[in-house]
Amino acid sequence: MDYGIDERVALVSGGSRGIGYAIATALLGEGAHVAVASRTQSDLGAAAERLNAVAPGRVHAISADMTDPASVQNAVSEARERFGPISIAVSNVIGHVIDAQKEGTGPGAGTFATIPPDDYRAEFKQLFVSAWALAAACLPDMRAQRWGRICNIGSMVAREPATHLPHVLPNVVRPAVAGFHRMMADREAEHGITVNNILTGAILTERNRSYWRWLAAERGQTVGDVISAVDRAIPAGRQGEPVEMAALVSFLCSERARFITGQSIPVNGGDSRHI
Amino acid sequence: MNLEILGRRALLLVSNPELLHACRTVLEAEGVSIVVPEAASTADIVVAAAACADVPILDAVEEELFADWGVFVDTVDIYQQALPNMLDNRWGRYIWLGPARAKSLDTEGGEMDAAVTLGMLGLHKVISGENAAAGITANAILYSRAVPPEATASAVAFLCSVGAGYLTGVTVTVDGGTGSAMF
Repeated sequence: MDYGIDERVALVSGGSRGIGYAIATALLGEGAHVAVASRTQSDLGAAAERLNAVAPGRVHAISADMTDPASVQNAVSEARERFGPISIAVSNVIGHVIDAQKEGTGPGAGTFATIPPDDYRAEFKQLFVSAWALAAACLPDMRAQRWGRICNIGSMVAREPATHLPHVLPNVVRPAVAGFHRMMADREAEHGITVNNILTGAILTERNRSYWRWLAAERGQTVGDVISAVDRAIPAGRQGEPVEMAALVSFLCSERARFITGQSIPVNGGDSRHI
Repeated sequence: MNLEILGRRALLLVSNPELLHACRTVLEAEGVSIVVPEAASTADIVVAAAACADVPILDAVEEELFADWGVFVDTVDIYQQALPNMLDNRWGRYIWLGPARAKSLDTEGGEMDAAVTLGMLGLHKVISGENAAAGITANAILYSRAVPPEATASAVAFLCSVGAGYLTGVTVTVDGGTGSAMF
């Protein structure tokens, strides 16, 4: 199937690994030029090298803090200078949940009773401001082209807050981000721009493995036990792969998906209960 | 009906004067006393409402977004202050009043009100999950502009009642049947 995005310019945040990397790969596979932005310089170089091997000359790596609007604006300008006006923006910033790499520190741990109010401000910057800044920076190009795709990598907790995991901060900020995208879809539809939000379920990225390691230590279980318990709770009997996220995202970014907008769509192996 | 809330103490963080008056009137009629924000740690009932500047999100600057999100953060702060007393009493009510638009999103103004309210629905779900066994409920009421304040206040009083003690983590829409979203 021809997705009709040959030569389109995409910017993918968090594109150096995991879900973002898979999305960048999928968009490159459809002929797009892809700028990947990431905070971690070391990951970025290696990712750009591997992506360039797949699509020589169509990849550009940008080191940026996508939660800082000024840095986002610079990243968008850099991508535009390299490839031309932006047509596709994928916002992919993770929330504050603890993991083994952070050794359980930083915002994220705790309950409503214990999390300091200011942590909700930090999470708002992380998830809401990042998506808002990327959209705001890319929309002028999209409106001028009368064609655009905005896709936010959100989380299942936007619709069904996770109560069995320490996810309080994403539980409260993700729904607001989903709502922002729903409202933006209304506004931008007349410009030929679609806006959608992915409700990410359990996807077995390196980041998530690290999270399961943290949880295993926290609960005094083995990592294998934690992962198989998670797998059993999912109707599909397993966690998803990043390419399964990229499959939906690249479709939504295609010409074919032009009438699909304002949606929050789960990729979760059936692991939700709402109608 | 006896709501069985005689002697309870309510903190009303409601900036809309008509809605505040309606909530105060209906609760006082049930024998509830109203406390000031400084006495949040003694409240059995906290009713809070959305109150954001009406700037379209995409036209806002970062500071304006943070100012509106500050409504959320300040509410969390007050909610937390009230929690220990509620846990001690094994009884408490958190009620958020937000715009019905949050359930059926459009761009007819009040975008941050709707976004903050969606965050609040998540927060109330979290609070309800963590504290239901302690007799504390956390719910949201989404009301539309056309609804008389007394109608919204009646729903507030009902959710405060002992009879509504098993209703938690839910969203009650008070919109006179105007909303189109089923879920």
